[in-house]
Amino acid sequence: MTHDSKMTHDRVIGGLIVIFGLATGLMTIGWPAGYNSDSVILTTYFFPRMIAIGMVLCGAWIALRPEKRAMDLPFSSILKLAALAVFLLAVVHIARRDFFIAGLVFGTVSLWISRVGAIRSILYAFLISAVVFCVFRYAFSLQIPNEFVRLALNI
Amino acid sequence: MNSLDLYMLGWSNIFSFWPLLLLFVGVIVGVIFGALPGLGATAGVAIVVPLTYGMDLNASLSLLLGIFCGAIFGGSISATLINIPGVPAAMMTVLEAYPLARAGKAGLVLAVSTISSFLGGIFSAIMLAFFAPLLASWALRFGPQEYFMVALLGISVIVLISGDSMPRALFAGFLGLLLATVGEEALRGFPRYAFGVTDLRVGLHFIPVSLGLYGMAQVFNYLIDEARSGQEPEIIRSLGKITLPFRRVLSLLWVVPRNAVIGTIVGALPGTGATIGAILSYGVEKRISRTPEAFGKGHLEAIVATETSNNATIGGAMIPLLALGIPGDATTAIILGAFILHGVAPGPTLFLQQPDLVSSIFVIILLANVIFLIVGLAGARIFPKLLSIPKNILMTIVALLCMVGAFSVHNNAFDIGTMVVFGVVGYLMRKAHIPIAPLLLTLILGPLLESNIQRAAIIDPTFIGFLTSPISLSILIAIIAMFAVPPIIQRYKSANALPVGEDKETTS
Repeated sequence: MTHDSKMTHDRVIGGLIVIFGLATGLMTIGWPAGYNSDSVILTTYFFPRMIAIGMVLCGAWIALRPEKRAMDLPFSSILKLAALAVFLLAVVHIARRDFFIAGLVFGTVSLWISRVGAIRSILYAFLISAVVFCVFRYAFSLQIPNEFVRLALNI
Repeated sequence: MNSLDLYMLGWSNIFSFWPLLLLFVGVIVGVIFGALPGLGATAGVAIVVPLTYGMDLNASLSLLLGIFCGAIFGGSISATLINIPGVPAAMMTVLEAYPLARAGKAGLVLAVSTISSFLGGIFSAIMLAFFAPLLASWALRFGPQEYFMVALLGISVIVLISGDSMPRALFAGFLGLLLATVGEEALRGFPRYAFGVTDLRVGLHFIPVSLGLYGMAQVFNYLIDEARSGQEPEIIRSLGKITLPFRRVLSLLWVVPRNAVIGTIVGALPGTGATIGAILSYGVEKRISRTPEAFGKGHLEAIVATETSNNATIGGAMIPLLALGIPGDATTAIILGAFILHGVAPGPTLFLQQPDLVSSIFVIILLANVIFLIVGLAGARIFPKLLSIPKNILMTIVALLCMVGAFSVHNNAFDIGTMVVFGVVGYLMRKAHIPIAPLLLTLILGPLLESNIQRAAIIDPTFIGFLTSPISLSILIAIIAMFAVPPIIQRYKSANALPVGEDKETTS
């Protein structure tokens, strides 16, 4: 990776941090001062605005004085990350109703991604999910949802 | 109740079936988490904290501190057998342990690491028992100004020493502070950054955030960057002899005391931790060694130094946690969260309300060290098998444990979603070389900072108390010096550096 492209990475990161800091600061406009606004420190927005200013300064520092750090994040990794995140949020949606099924789905896909065959992925995911579910549901008495399993087993 | 009664009470708190069993389980789990690269003490403690809801405080501390002690020791196993530090604190051990392991001395290295870790841990437990009550009695004089400055000191130190980029570490610190403001504001209940989402009005709980940053981020890292490669590290399976001549043992034992002191002091500084202890000890040992050229090629004294020091930081880190309520590092930050979960607020008043707690923690750390000494020496032959656990299975288990842990906070799937989001954040932060520890520390210390500065503003709107209080002023000067002095020294050195090729004799 060239020197210039490493500096570009830092400038991009710095710029994003500046934008993020500005956004969080601008969001505090319109927040009430509170019943005791004699001291600005006691207002609802003092601390968040100080933080926002700090973030903008950090971002500007990184952008204006890049440290030539390569960000090892090719576009393919960003796509994979986005796909995984969306998949996991869908798994969370399943977990609201049945944790065991959510674990089975996630485990199967995760093992399949790591080059375990389809049948073995399902089998291992079933075992892992079943053990985790039973340990936490019955040993730790955690009320994990299991709606679909109960329906399937007619419990 | 006198000191002896308190210690007896501490022993009796822990010497019962459940705390002892959980301590044993914790150490084993900790060794596994520490030995397997990518997990570590912080992830182990973060995953297990939610499971301690239904336990009493002594039982949950047994489990969590067992994991902490076991994990820091466990990092030396992978450092020795696969040339990868299992925890960041073992990064200096790798330099010396792996060359010796390749020379057929893996068993010896593991034995030396185990005994050194044990001795460092015992020393710091004794220091904890002695110094924590002293510091707490002193801290009873603290007001909001002093607490604010101590919290700021902790944040400043971890920003200074996290990674090698100050602006990135500062940003991580600010991000944690920002996340700490999410939810209903303490004085008026105004919902900040809630965006109309009811679940955000209660704020972001540190458990899903820490599970995401440390646990889920590792899972993402594995699935995106490592899973398809199918590469597994080469494991050294032959351990060789585990004995040394008696004189050699004595010469190694001499290394222990100074590094135990270094580790304990480093651990006691808010914001530092086992990694800094290990780096500092390695540096000191190399400087005073008669054979510094042998460092990096398999130097047993260096292994003794780093392993003594990194385990000694554990007792040290508990000193500011118990006495001031300020965590010593990211793992103790999560342990602080565990205290809060159980309705206990660490700080000087803890010593008045639960005086036996320090003795219980002293006993837990003592026994944890004894357990991993036995496990480490007796179980050394099993360690190569431990490292053979397929990473794909392990990461699936970690992911499911993270989901359960996040769910258990409020029995709400929203927290699992939060964990996933912070898994993405943690993955991106690592890629952008932004350290994570400052974020976690400021997430936990943020409310302390804000509430104490607001209290200080109510008591003294002019803030002159920050300058008239000797404690507050001293800490303020220390913080300014920490940031200002190194660049000045660096500039002075650059200005006085001689051009290449010249030395003092030729210029005089």
